[in-house]
Amino acid sequence: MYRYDEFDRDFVFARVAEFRDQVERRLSGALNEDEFKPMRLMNGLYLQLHAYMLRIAVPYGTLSTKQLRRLAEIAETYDRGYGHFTTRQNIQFNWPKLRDVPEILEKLAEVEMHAIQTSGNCIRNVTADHFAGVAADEIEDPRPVAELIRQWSTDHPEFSYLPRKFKIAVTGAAHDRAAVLAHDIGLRIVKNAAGEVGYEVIVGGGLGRTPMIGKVVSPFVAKADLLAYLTAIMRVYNTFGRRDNKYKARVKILVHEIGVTEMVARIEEEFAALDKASIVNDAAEQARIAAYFAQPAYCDLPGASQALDKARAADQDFDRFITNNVAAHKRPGYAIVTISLKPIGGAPGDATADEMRAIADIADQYGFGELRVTHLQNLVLPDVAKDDLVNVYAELKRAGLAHANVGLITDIIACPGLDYCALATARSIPIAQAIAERFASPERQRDIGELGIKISGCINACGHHHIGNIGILGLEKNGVENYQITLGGDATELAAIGERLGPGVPAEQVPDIIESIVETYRGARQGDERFIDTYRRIGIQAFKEALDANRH
Amino acid sequence: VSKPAKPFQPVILIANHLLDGDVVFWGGADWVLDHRKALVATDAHQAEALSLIGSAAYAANHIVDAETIAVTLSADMTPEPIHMRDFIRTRGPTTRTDLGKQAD
Repeated sequence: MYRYDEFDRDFVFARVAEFRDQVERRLSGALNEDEFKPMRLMNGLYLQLHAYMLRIAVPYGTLSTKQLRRLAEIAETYDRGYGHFTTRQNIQFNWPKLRDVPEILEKLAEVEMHAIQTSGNCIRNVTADHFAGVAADEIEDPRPVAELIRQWSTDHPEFSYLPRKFKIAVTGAAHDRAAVLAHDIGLRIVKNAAGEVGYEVIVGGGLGRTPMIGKVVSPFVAKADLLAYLTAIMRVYNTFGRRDNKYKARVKILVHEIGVTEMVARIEEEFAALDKASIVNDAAEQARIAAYFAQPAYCDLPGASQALDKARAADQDFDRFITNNVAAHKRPGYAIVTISLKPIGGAPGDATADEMRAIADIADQYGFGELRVTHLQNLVLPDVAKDDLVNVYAELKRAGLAHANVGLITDIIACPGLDYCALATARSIPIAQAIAERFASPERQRDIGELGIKISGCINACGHHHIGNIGILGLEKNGVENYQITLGGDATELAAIGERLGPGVPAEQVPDIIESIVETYRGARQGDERFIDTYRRIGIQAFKEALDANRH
Repeated sequence: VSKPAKPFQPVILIANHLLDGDVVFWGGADWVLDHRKALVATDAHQAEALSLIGSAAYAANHIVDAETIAVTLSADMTPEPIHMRDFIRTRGPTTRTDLGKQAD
């Protein structure tokens, strides 16, 4: 995985020193809050309902065990013993003290981590497919290009004061696990007719109060031209993006207002005028970065594992875990294991310091010391030999982490909501807990099959509710929490924004409504049809009618 | 015919402590951690005075994000926030009763 060179290292430590000075000046009164706030936000430090909150970047979701152990140490020393993995592959600590933050950042810098550009109107942490580099359906590992973009965008003087925040996601696989169509820029690694690898570029996706699916602005940008093309997009946005209204300042609004044809014309005009030689992504630089992502020292293994097959036959729970939490690896004899951070009744995405250490130990012993954070708020062991899956499962079980629910109805995304967040209008976590408890039975979850529920505690949509198969948006109505439910959202290559099921409902009704939706699906599905496919076939009306019938 | 004036809703002053981010309340002489010990403004004039105290403390770099929040008063005049957001701020996450003020 990527290691800092001397420039990265010096830069990050310099930022720590700079922020330490800024905090000292704030505490001495030399800086007031109006002056200090933009500085702390540039270093990922927010003020939430109960305390400060520090958001730490996990670039393209790749994490070493050394880094995870350091996060565990920070959780215990400076926070309340846990962290929260977010829908942007970051981690948040909810209780740091301002005076401790420079020290926390110093400790992060020691393990090549930081909180830079996890807030503010800049290009945020670049996210990627969490199966990057190991997915069986991948054209190319997206992490080197995500790293290239990170280097290009970090502290970029031209793009540090954009009209609004800017999120980029990259996938190298046919199946989109990175929700690239819901980002300001989405990149898909593709091959052109000549067999060359390049990028399909998508602009103007996003969620929030105005959800939009991104539009393709170029079907193929050559590798060497990528940074120049991205620069052209950013310049168009920086020039024409609205600054008069923060709710209309994202690039999706610009694309919507001027139309994709005009957007493409402006990008192409800018691209043509650029001094491309100054920002060319040359082959030597591509190779230099790619070398950091060299694959681990795999063994030559047979594709099948007798030990695995035998254990599956002997243990139903283990078999269920393999079915739900293990994905195909590009390398014979290896598998990708997703560790669910969604225990029944738990807070989605939360991990305690002990859990982080247990996961780090397992990754060291069985997974080449590498982990991934998913935007679905789970962790991944990307490289586990199939023969070791029995042991990995046993270790996870011992640590209380063998939740076999990945992709199922209890694998719920939820933002922190009103329990923590200053922007939230309603709670998210208790809704996720109530639904998970309602559908806790493993047999029932298996019967329902693949179904993604995503919950946001406000219109800003950090819980990605618009693109949940079932989306839940928490609002406040007359002083009471109220939840709007949408159906048919999809975060994949078939991305779709969910449709409203009906008027908002109070919290206590949500599990019953989810139950009605699920039963309508079960009654209408054909064979092994997934929820989203049944929904697309029968439409929202059938769900509305069933809900009305249940109410009377 | 003019509408009768809406009765004044009592308020207390809430903020975050600058150094540690803790939720604090103006207690009359100092900032306190327990909302039940907060000074209650029972009319608009007192509420304005609370807001000025918040502004001054903000300017003096003691606290951040000061605001007045509506409360109801129990028989012994103990204030309790009306809105869920403020209720959670006075206690801690509803999903983690081992954290925040409710755990103290």
